[in-house]
Amino acid sequence: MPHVQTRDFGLLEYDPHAALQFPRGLPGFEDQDRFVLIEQEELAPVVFLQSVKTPDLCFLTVPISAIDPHYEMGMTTEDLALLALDESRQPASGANVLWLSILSAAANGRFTANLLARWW
Amino acid sequence: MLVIRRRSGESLLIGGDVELEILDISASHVKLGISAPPEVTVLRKEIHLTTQQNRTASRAVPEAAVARLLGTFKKIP
Repeated sequence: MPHVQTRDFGLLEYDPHAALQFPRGLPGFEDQDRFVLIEQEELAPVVFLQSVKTPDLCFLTVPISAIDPHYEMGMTTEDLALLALDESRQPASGANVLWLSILSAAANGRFTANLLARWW
Repeated sequence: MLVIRRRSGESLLIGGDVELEILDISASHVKLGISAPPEVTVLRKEIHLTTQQNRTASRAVPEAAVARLLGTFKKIP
């Protein structure tokens, strides 16, 4: 099993099949194409999105269902095709896909989640 | 803000070398064609905003702020 040096949890072993591929990286981090998700029971529902390449790069995310259970995703048919999903309908969160929203902390320590953007 | 009415197939120029053409219009979408020199960055605004938010989000967060955050989730029934 490969290992990943994490920012907040030391050295962890991970299942390479569970690593997430971002072929074009993330907006602002286009060279970061491989991440692992780290969950800690005491920190639920926060899920840590840790870069495999860069130990210092780790995002706090939450499933969108934890923020807004009724949130409706508006994916374009191109997005759906890219993810090899059924293009005729929106995928079901929690069943077909897991929606995670990256949290960012303002200077005052309050967090915001971005539910707007889609990549391409 | 400058507001200009254009029909499908018409275009407008920004500066000397950026051309914006209205390719197609539907009920809720407009398809634009942009011709610009390679040094001009063209970005969907939401991607630009996400880039900025991701950069902010990549900064380490104080533990106290995380504790407060977890508290807000526990309040949701």
